[in-house]
Amino acid sequence: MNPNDDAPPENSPAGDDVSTATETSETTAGQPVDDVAPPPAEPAAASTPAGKRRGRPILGAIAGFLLGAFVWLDLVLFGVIPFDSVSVWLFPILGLVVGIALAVWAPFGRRRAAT
Amino acid sequence: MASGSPPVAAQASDPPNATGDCQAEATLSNGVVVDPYVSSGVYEMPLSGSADYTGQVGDGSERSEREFSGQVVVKTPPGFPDIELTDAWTWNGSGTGQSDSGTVNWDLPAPLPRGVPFTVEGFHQDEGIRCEGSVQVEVEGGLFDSPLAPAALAGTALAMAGVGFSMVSRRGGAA
Repeated sequence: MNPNDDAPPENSPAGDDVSTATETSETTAGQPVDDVAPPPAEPAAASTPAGKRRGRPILGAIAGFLLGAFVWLDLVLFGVIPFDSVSVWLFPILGLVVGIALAVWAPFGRRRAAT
Repeated sequence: MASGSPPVAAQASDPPNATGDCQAEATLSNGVVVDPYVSSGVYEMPLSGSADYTGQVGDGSERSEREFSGQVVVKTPPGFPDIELTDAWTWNGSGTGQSDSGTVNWDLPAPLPRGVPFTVEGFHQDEGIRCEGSVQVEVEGGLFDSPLAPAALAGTALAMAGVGFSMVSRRGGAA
């Protein structure tokens, strides 16, 4: 899976690559379109505090699901939990939720604010 | 109700988990004697092997012709189909007999974890009598005798790497 295939989060501005004024000076069929109104500004609430997207939530969901399943399998193999328990479903679901949450949080790789 | 020798497996000390007016006993190919009316386990068994069994309904006297059925399965986690053993572990038909004996074989899937208890459950439905019970068994061997073990550990590491990678910000910015 290509992690770059992740869809943007719903609350992401359309946005990291949002149209700018330079696009309004492009031409259509050779005609200037400077008179076209610029797109409305994205609402501030749609951005993270830094105004940037974070993490890879779809990758986080898939990897979290698989991690939950494998952790369940490890615990069964080591005899920590019984083989025929309902936890076979709980671990992957929990992993999926935690994976999404960690990917949205995305604490790694952030740059410090410019001074 | 109980009959035969007590189980020889050292861990087979749990109270019995069987109901109904029946008797059932099996001697596995590794020498372990399984009797659900004596103990529910845990019994050690080989991944594949055979068992000499005896079974009886009621007091063993002849009865009129009637239909009967029964099955023994390996229980799996909820949502997954139970593991059915060979055809000899499922029976149905009609007759007047009240007891049976013979030899059955099994060949469990190789990925089954070793040394981990799981449940073998069975029933026999007869005219006016239903017997059911279960025992805990574990396949002989160690952790890495199951091909699932290295795969599970490797999968855990890969999935952890995936989660870690998903936590890296795609774009920078003020934190």
